[in-house]
Formats: sequence, C-alpha cells, structure tokens
Amino acid sequence: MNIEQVILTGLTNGSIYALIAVGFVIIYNVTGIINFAQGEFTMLGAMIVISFVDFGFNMITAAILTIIIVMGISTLMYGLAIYPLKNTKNSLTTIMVTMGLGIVITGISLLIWGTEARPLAPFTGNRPITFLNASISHQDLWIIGSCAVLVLFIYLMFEKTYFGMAFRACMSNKEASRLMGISTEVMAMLAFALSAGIGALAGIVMAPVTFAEYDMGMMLSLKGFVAAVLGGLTGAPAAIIGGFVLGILESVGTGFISSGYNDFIAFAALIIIMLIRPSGILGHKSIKKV
Amino acid sequence: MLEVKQLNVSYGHVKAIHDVSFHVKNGEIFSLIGANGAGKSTLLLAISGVLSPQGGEILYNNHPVQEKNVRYMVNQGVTLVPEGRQIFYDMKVKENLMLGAYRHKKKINILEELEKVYELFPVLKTMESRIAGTLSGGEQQMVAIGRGLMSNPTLLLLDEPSLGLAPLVIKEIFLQLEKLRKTGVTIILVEQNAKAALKISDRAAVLVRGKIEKIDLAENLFQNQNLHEMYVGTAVNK
Repeated sequence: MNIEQVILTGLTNGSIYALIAVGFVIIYNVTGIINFAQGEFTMLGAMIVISFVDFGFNMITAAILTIIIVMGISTLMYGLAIYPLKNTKNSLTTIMVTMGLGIVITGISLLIWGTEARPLAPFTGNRPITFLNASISHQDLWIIGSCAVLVLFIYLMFEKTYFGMAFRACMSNKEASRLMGISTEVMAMLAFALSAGIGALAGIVMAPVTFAEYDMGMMLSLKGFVAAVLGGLTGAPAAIIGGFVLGILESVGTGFISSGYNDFIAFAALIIIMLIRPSGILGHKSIKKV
Repeated sequence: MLEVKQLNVSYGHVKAIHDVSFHVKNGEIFSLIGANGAGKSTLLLAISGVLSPQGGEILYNNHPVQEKNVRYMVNQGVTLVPEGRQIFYDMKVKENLMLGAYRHKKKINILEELEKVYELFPVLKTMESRIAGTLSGGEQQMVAIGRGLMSNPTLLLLDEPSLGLAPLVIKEIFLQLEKLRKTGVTIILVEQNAKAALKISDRAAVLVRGKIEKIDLAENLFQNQNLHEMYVGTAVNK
C-alpha cells in the first residue's frame, strides 16, 4: 500500500472516529459525563437506516427519519437514566450507567434485528475514483464529506448563533450559566440529542462500507473514546484531530504491518499519549472532571 | 422592593442564616457587611434563587419568591454578580456580556444594552473581541458587572466586587456603582471592604455569624466607633 492510499484510508476511518469523538466531547463538556453508549447511537443509525431502506424509503428520507429517531432515543435515555443522576458527585456512577445503557440498547437491537450482519448499498455508485496514486470509493467521499459538513455545521452553530453561545457558556462554566438563567439541564438534554444525531450520521454514512451488526457499538464507543482522549476532550476541533490521528495510525498499521493490529494500535496510541501528554493533543494541562 | 422576613438558610445541618429580616427600598444601595463566614454571600444566594431557604419569606415587589429558582428571579429582574466573578474565561468579552441578556433576548435590544454597558465601562468596548480570561482582575470584574447589567435588572446583587483588586481599581469600580445608582438600579452590595461599601451606600446591615447585628444608615454605621474598628479597620477619631 502506498503512502497516499494509507492517508486516504486513514482520513476515511478517521472521519468516522471523529464524528463519534465529537459526540463524546459535546456531552462531556456540557455534562461532565463520558457517555459510553455513544457507539450505540452509531450502531442504531446504521441499523435503522438499513431498515428504512428495506421498507422502501428513499435514502434521504431514511437518513432524516433515522437521525430524528436516534435523537429521540437519546433524549429518552437522558430523561430516564441520566437526569435522575444530576446530583451524583461520583462520575464513575454515571459512566457505569452509560455502559449499562449501551448494553440495554445492544440487547434490544439483538431482539429487533437478530445476529445477522446487514448490508446497505453505497449512496452513489461503486466505481472507485483514482486520486494521487490512490483509489477512493464514492462512499468514502460521502464519509469524509459528511465529516466536513458536520465540522462546518458545528462551527456555525456554536460560533454564530445565540443558542450556540449559550451552549459554549455551559461548556465553559455551568454555575455562571445558571446565573444567566440558562437551563443547564435543557442544555445537557440537547447535548445528548445532538451527540446522538452526530453518532447516527456516522452510522448512516459508514453502513455501506461495513456490514452493520447489533454489537458493533461497543468497539465504536471505545475507538471514539480513544479519539476524543487523543484530541484532549476540550472541544469539537480537538475531537476531530484525535479522530484523524487515530484513523491514520490505524491505516499505517494496516498498510505496513497487518490489519490484525488495528485495535492494538488504537489502544497502544491511547496508552502512549496518556503517558507522554495526559491532557491530549489539544488539551489543557489539567482536566478536572474524569 | 425587597423584603426578607425571618429567613433561615442551612448547608446540610449547618445553619448559615438565622431569622434574618430586613428590607431594601427602591433605588437604594444597601450593603451587607461582616467578617468572613458571617453569611453575607449565602444571603445573596438565597435572594437570587440559587439556594432554597429552610424557613422564612422573601418578598420581591410584594410577591413571595423564596421557592423560586434563578431563572425565575432573572426573569423578574434580579441578577447576581457572584463572588470570584465567574465570567466565561474562554469566551470573548462581547460574548460574556451578551450572555447576560440570555433570558431577555426577545424583550430587549441587546445592542442598546451593550452600548449602555460600554458607556459605564468604556474600556470594555476597546477589548470586546478579547478572550475574557486574558483580562486583568479589574477588567474581569467590569465584565462581570457589565454582564449582570445586560439583563437590564431592577435589583443587582453584587458579591465582593472588590475582592483581589488593587485600590485604584476598587475606587474606579465603586465610582461606577455610584453612577449606576443614578440610573435607578437598586443594589445590594456584599463587601468585606466595609469602608468603600459604606461610603457609597444609603443603608447597611452588619451580619455576625448568620444574624443581623445592626441595621442603620450607612453614615451612622461609618461613624459607629465599635463597628468602625471592627470592620473599617481604624477607630473613627484616629
């Protein structure tokens, strides 16, 4: 595999990890919670969109409905399981609860869709495009493009709207936000919904390049978490950088060593970065919350 | 405007405020002075809706508000500028100020309110694009007060605005508070710097271990020999 191909493959995988990692950091910065059910939102995105397409919906309608449903599920999850823990001082409790929720979502998905891996046709054709000695599929472009559009969307929403400003205020200082009359509980619920929507989008665009299965969420959660920690857990730009770093590292390992080392490389990278720079690539020197 | 009756506030089993009663008139500056741990900040937190009192009553414009939360109080025009400033350090000065108007964004013209704040603190206009965390302590305090004013409050609760500031900066801040009074805003001021607080206040209360020891005109308290020695630092005639 040549270096151009390694980088393009890394960018594609990195885009998926970046989308999941962005979900992690949005929830973490607004609520202080590490949501280990984030990968399940991606799994739900993939499984639900495939079901809608199987029912005969066109791709755009299926994608919109899927994102709305996954956002609804996460809002319900926040209201039933996370909000009641709002006064909990022990962050381990909330982490355990999100892991439990991930297991519940996986179990329900097993009952609904069974163990069979489910395919989805690429959005626009199968023919690869050759670019700088490397080939890239249409679907890979959809994945990278979705990530780019999402980055733009997040930038515009957070930086250019009053709502986004209030959202950043909650990320910056929850107590002061309350004094401004901002409902931090509503913002936390919206953080879960937004993260779920982003996770679902990741699932939708990745479904055609990987078979969707009921139990894919856990590994995606772990990879997204690694990307978020690599970036530094400080915000969306850090998460996106973390995602791309992880994607390219995995791609280098796959291209020059063996594809069997994928997971090893991801978690080795996490351990190394924790030893060398515990605050992550773009992180501040000390992180108070975890 | 504000009437506090037999108020009791506790942190768990520790009682911080015991049967405190006082009233604040429209348009006045009312100071709460006392030593560390006297319960001054707790009182402000209860009035602003951050803490729920265990007993007693808080009447704001004759309506009981002791059970109401911060959002309700902000909507009613009561704004707390907290101790330690609590500004959004990683956001721009202008964003900090604009967030002060969050609950009132549909009712007020944010740009007009911004201009009013800039009139009071002209230095903030020149640094509106700067990240708030990079400002000096005094400038950050101006941001905190300016942010509080953005909601066009009728009652402003100021908790230790002089904390950690240089004497010249304190003088400047208190000068602006006097200007603010002229616009009709009622102010409850919590201060350890009793001398500065009493100089600009109409009336004041002295809190000792969660109880009100004395309420009087600020000038009378300033002249009171015992209080002067205890809270202002030097005896009156020395």
